[in-house]
Amino acid sequence: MARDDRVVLIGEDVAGSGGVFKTTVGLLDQFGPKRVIDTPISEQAILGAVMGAAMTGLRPVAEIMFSDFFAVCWDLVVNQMAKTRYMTNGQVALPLVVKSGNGGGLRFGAQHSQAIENWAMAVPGLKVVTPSTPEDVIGLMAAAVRDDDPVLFFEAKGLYPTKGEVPAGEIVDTLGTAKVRRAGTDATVLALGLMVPRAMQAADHLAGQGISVEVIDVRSLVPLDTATILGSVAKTGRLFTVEENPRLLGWGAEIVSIVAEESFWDLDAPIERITTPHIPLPSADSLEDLVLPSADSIAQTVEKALQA
Amino acid sequence: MSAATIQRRRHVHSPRMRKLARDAGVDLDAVRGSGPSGRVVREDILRAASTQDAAAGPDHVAPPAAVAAGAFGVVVGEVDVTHLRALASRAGLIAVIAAETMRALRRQGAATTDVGESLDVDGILVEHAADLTVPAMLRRIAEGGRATSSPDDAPRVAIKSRAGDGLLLHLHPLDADRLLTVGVGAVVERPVVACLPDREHVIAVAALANVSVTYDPARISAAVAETVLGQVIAGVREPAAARGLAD
Repeated sequence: MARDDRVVLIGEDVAGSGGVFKTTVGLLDQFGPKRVIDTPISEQAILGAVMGAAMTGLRPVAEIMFSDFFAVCWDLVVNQMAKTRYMTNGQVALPLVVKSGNGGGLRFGAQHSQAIENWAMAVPGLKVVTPSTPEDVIGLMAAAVRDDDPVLFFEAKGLYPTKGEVPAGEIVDTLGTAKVRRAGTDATVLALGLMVPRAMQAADHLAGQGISVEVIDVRSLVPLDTATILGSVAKTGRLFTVEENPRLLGWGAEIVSIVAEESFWDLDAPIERITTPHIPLPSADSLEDLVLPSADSIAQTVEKALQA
Repeated sequence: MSAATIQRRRHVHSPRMRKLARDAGVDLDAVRGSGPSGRVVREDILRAASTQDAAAGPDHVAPPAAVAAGAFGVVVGEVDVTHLRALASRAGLIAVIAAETMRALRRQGAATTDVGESLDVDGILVEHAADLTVPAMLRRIAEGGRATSSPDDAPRVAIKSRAGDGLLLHLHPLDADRLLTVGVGAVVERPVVACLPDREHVIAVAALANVSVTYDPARISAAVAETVLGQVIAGVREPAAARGLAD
């Protein structure tokens, strides 16, 4: 926002309160009420407004407080934002970003804990990213704002309290790139968002069992970094995905399909997806902890597979 | 498929192992698995492949094919001379290849009895070539001198190494009475894919040269020619190949 006057931010409680999850603290003071705007509770109005803003020369960022609420304004995302460039034959671009609090782990219950990045992956015309570290939040947001297409930026709510090293200076990442968080040789584990630190903990535990796991933070679902993923599978011969989405059609299902098609002859064993069961998420903490993939469940699944 | 069949076939070979076995020419049904629950793993296949090669042996030779007069066969390969670059001049490289050729021919035994003792290296006669060390071969080549003598005792085997700029390979038809000619192309530096011990692949720079073996198919079979080429390439790669050249 400091670099480019055209970048504006709107959403529920993003200005005066600095965001319900405190992700936009200080922006109102720094950039003023014309560029940081609190909206009524109307997701359709929020997205309609940023669409109009993007069509008329701004580079807006909208916040949808809980990604579950995308269901309320999905028509604007899918039928308007995702289709505009195509249906105007490139005459109208929508350089906008919609950020949202995504996923569970905070006991918010079934309607406030869903991870819906897989819904977004299924719609042609959108870009979809999920950072898992503070550095990536900055770098991928910078890349998303600079991108001329609609980018859905999913922030894992469960990771909001995370602290991490952030290099000084400007950080601009690249959409469409995955990161190998931990190199390994015995198995490839793909993870996204909240599942990344859990996969890393599982990898630490497995290393103690003599199993060397390569953990890849997928980061970007659209565009997807197939080169990094397929390269890793070629090296290890085994693939696991760790997905917060409910079982059917999580983001990992698509990647597994791609691997089966393009790297069949590299596979040493069946691919395994580690996911939440196909149920609404519980509010009770013990139940939520049981259903979301955990470091333990990830480690157990990988260990069992490699010993079979 | 019944549950019983699925259970029985629980440990079928994985796609990766099937591909590895196919590429190595190994029959998977004959391989005993040493992995968990009796799975066939990479080491099992590699062991089976090397056992098969050893079983074949130097005397296992396919008879030469019937061919038209004047026809010749060619096999071409690529030799990695990166480790020789610092040590050897082109003459040194040729000496190494000449020595490896004579060694490879000697190992073919019955298939190459009329190879003889001498070698023609770019027109220079090298006698008792099979007994020379690489430095001795190099000295003999450097001496130059006596061109090949009368046709009666002309060497059956030749090395031809003249390769101008940009010429990767020159396939030489066989001179009269020649059994086999090894052609060595120009050395070119190229990016290659190298595999590190932790199985990570990296790009490295290698010095490579094309090597051809032109042979008389009426007297030497394709299998022997291929084996000779393979052994020359493998021999040149050995660090010991450069022994003596650094002096």
